[in-house]
Amino acid sequence: MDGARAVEIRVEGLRKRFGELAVLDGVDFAVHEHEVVALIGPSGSGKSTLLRCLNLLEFPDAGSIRWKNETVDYRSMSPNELSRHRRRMGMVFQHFHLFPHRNALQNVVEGPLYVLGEKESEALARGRALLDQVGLADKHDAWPSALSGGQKQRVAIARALAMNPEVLLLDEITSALDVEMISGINELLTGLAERGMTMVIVTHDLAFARRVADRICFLDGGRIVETGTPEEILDRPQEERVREFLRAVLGEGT
Amino acid sequence: MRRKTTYFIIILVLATGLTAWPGETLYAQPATDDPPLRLAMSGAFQPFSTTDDQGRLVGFDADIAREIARRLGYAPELVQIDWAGIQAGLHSGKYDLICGSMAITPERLETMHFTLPYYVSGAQVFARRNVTDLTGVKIGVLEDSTYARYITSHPERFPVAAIVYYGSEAEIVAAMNTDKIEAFVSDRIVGGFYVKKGGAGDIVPFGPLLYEEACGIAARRDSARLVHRVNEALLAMVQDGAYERIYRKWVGAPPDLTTLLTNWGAFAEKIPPLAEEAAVTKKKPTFVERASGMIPLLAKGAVLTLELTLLTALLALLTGSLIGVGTSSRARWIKRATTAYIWLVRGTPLLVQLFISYFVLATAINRLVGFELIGAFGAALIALVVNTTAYNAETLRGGINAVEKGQWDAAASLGMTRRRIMRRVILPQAFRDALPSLGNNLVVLTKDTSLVGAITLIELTYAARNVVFQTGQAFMPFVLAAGFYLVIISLITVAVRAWERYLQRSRQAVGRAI
Repeated sequence: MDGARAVEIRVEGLRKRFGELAVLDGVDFAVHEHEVVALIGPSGSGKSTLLRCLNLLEFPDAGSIRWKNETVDYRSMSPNELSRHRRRMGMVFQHFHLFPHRNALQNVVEGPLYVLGEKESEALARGRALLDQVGLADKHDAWPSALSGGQKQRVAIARALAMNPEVLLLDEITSALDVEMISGINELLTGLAERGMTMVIVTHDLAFARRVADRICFLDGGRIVETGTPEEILDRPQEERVREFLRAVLGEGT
Repeated sequence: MRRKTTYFIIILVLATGLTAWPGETLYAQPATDDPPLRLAMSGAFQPFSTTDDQGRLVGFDADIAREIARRLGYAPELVQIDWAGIQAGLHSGKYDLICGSMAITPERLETMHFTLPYYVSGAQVFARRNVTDLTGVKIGVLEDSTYARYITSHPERFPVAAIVYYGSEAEIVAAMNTDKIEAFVSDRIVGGFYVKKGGAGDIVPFGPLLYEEACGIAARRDSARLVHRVNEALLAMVQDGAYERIYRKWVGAPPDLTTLLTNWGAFAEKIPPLAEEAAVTKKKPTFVERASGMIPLLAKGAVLTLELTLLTALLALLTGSLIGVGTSSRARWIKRATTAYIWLVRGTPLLVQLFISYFVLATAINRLVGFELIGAFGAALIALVVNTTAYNAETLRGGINAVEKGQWDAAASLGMTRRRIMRRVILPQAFRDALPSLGNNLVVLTKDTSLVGAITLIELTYAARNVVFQTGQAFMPFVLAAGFYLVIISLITVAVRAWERYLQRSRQAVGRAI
């Protein structure tokens, strides 16, 4: 991490409980401009919740959130401020969550038309270009129900990109896909990374994390246990908990 | 011989199976020994017919009915039925005779046979003691009665403020007691009974007898023979003093036999000839002829039914959506108010809501503005919209809750506000999934409009009942009304299905694959 890069978003002391369960137990975390960060760790370690706290789909119980140089006062935000904060970051979900009553193109232009207030002709042109870009040139009018999992996820990515986000939040977006779909999506993300898109990726795909991420954070029990370059985390982990996890996932060294 | 027996068994089986089928010709006597003679009365016309503390029918009519049945060699079976439905019941074969103080009128003679008058009475105005002039008075009367017809055809003698129609004499007494009316027209003996008993407040007969009328026992037009036998029994009862005994017991005075016999003389020419029985059945109009005569009235009712249904459907879809969305509002008071609304409306019967809308809400508003702003139609529309709104809201609430949670996440991550997410993402999906149930609500609504007859609107069902009164036929009007309902509901169903298909188009793409 060279210190010259500007910070996009930084959280400190982030805590979140669901009833008795402390899902985030004091997380300090930052993403820099043009950086790709992968969040890995066992299930229930808090990766997804951390991601959802960044764009305030979940409100943290405690801790601070800073966007660039301004404090995000999530305790007293107006609906408009909340909307503005959320649309700085695009989000893609494991189960796509496309709007089933709108076709592919309508899904993509929904945000630009009704949140950004773009002109219809403009939004549609940009939406078509985005769908072409994610490899769905022939599926503009298709209903989500007529698309394969991989195609749905491409629409979801285009829908997130259509908002011109500064950061992309990806929540296990290949976990629900067939193996042959995954490489296509990963290629797409690699391309985005190469063009300088800032991304936070929650993933179980360690090979992909190694290839695309600048930095990997390992979470366990609601805390960031270790953070470093892919080589540092995947090849020379310092923490026993990380080694244990890698052994279990990669089936090595048993 | 054998073949004859077979035919007989087939006919017997058919007849037994079809006894529930209304209609003059198919009405079959049970094949068992000694069938009872069934006689109907309202049970709400003291002292002629009422019920005792065990619910048995008692009174002058009841005793006369029992005595006649006994003399004809039948076991008496007394049937209590609302005055409004008493003729339909006779025509559909629910009983053999109406022994319920029915005045003999030319119109009724067109659809029924009557026996000799079994008592002569008359119409009389009764009023509060302080009433000196009927001008501006509210007067109560039994609906579909000779008294009601008399009042409406003699407006010069009744300069009243309003005529209020009731379903039974008992309701008229209740209305007198609660100051809803200040006078009523009834049978002089019935009214006299209440004057003596004091059940209707401080009332007195007002003015002279309006007219004299004779009450007879009514029979279907295929029962001329039964009418003759009843006449013989009546004659015997008058001769041997049984009639006088029953009369004294209930009326408290001796009968005026001279008047009764004079009426018998006047009625003699209206006694049905025995030969008529065959003639009547032969010159019956055809099915189509009978049906086509009824259709204009029924169609008028159907139009009102359709108007109420469509207007309510349209309005209740809007209000139902608003209330339905309100139940998932974050503002606690909206959530509570809408939930309470659904609870309140679904927890009370539509009929009660109609009465409240008509008698309470409309009355209050009309008094406030000083003229009749909300009539019966408006009141009915309000009640139907209020009712259907609650069901639509509840249906939609279910649909909203059933939309996958991830849809909220996805829309929120695009920066959509809660309100916009509801409008653009959640509601369209909820509506699409709830449409079959909303369509069902619409079908239920169509049939529920039959209740607005209770607040004087002549919709399809009420129109059918009116046709029954006019023609004396029960089968055809109701079957035709059912047909009208089926047509209306089929059209609605087809329209809703088409809309469903349109909204479901986004799913049809995978219809085959799933």
